[in-house]
Amino acid sequence: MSGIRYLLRRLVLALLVMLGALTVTFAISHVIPGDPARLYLGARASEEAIVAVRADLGLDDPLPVQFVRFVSNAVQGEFGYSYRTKRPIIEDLAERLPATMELVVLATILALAVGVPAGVLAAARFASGFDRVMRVVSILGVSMPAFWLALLLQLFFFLWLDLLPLGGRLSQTTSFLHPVTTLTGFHLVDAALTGNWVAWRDAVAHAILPVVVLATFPVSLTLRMTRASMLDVLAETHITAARAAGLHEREILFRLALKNAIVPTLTVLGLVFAFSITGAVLIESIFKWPGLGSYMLDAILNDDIPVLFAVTLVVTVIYIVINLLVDLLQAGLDPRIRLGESSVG
Amino acid sequence: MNTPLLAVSGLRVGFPAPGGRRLVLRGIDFEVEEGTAYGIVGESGCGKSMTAHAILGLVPPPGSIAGGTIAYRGQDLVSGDPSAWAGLRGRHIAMVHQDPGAALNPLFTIGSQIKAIMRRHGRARSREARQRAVSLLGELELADPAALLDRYPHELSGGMQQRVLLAMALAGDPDLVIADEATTALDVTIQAQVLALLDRLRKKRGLTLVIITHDLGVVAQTCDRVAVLYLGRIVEEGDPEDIFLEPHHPYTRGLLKARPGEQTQRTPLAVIPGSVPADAANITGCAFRERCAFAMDSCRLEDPAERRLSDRHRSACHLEGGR
Ligand SMILES: Nc1ncnc2c1ncn2[C@@H]1O[C@H](COP(=O)(O)OP(=O)(O)O)[C@@H](O)[C@H]1O
Ligand code: SF4
Ligand SMILES: [Mg+2]
Repeated sequence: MSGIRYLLRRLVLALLVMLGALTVTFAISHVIPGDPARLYLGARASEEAIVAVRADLGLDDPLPVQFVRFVSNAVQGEFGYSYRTKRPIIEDLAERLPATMELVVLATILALAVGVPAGVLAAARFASGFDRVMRVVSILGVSMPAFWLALLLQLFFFLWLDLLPLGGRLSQTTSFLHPVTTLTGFHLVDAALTGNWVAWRDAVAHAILPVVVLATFPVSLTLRMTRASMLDVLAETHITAARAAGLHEREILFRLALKNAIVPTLTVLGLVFAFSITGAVLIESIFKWPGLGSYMLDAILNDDIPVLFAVTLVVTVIYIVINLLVDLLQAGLDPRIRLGESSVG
Repeated sequence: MNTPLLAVSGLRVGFPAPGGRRLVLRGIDFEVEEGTAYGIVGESGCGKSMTAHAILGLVPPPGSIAGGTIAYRGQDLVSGDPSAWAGLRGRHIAMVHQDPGAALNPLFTIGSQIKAIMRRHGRARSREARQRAVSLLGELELADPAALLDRYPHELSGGMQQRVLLAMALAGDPDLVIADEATTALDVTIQAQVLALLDRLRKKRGLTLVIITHDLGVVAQTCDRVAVLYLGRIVEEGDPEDIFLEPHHPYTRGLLKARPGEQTQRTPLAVIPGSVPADAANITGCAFRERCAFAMDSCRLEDPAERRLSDRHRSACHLEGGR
């Protein structure tokens, strides 16, 4: 079956890209100046201690041996210890990654739930008042600097209206009196699963501003992409044919046309999802969100090299998985992609 | 005579253009009797597809109907309630679009496209829809209809796609089917098969057909009445015998001469000189004047009015003639 062959081909490709990313990371870690052992022990360590740590970390082994160990460690999530926190990096990641993913996933859900329908309606009512408003709003949304929007929203909702908290994931009273039991690491999910509604409401209040800021770009870009590809699709003969066949406009827009329009939009959505992880660095530091972004920022400021490599690898894996998912989704929607004929633009 | 199933009168369709409106249909009149096949012929760009879309109330924006009436069973649709018009689409009047490759949605299986139309018009509940789709495809003489339901359009040949489009037109069980260049994309053998199939379907289902083509041969094979369209106007209308044996309008005569079958070895390819002007608006007098071998002074001054040559034969040309 062509579908299964396509799936296998994509999986193999993703694995190869992953291996490539590992190789590049490994290579970089060997060309950057500075002795990892010295960095790990600090500037005033004795020579003996450094030699011991070098042997301990396997830094004197031949390169191929080091590479194999590096790959096998990475696959098992053994990223070593953070120079700064002195904790296993994997433990830090287990706390930080879900916090970031909570923001990014919510932003992506907003892009899908708001950007796509608004784009469909704007295209359906081409050149109407609604379309014009959407065009202005979305151009603002893609061009507005995130930090500026963040400050504006903090000013408005915290300082003036006193409706929403300034930052953090939970307020201190809540984490003290109603701590969230960690199941998935997503506070919103965990609080709901454990029926901890006090914490849930608090978590929602804390998430609103960072999610809105993070989602502004994805929502706007998704809206613009959906609108543009819907306009293309609505001009196609098969849509006129569906109208001539008397099908409901609702069915034509949201089933027949949208399925065609969403295929190219998914590419953008995948890119935007990955891009949001990077975008979260800035937004997390503004909102004191204890995620991957602020972890990475601290690592950069403290020359915490192993953390930087670990975060880079994790983000790379997420990129690759997202790309794979987008490819598979598109192939699921478009039989011509499964055949490998040509991707549809 | 009873009310014709479809009566189009003075139909004009225009698009906004710099300095006013550009009319692409300039007053179309014709009537289609129930149970007959009506042929509309003309070169590419003369307004055949636009006429079909106007009848369905689907003139593409920013175009719009600028005047005239379209009466279905005596009820004018242009001045009536738009929802009544929408209610006719697919269920009473169906259309087969030209270019079957483009008229099928590439992302849905044949079965889901046919069943959507059946469900919409209450022709089948979802459970029996599959069965009905299978028998409909069988009626269109498609092999292995059950397997076909799960195929995608790009997996089908042009001839199969054309039959599937016909099946989709029939899925709502309409009375009138407008077939726009339904055979143009097909090679000659398949074309003949599809035409014969259309004819059988018409008799079996009591359909009324409007057959749009640029091929007079198609019309000769299938139609009870023929209209020749030029630049958004019907320049000649008659029974096939009138049009083929006693053509009056120079454009009709040109079309007949240009038919491949009409050419002998010795005569060079006879075609109508020139090409269709982009716009009829800045032509005074007869729109065909610049390409007409018979043009006279009066042709420059005055747009020829329609003349009755006989009961069932009319032409819009200054030339003397007729019976
Ligand atoms: N969407 C449109 N906008 C402007 N002009 C159009 C549009 N569609 C068709 N026309 C014009 O209307 C005329 C008739 O087109 P059409 O009905 O498609 O011709 P055909 O007889 O080949 O089917 C042509 O001159 C064409 O340029
Ligand atoms: S009216 Fe004149 S120009 Fe027009 S077709 Fe007749 S003879 Fe030719
Ligand atoms: Mg056409």
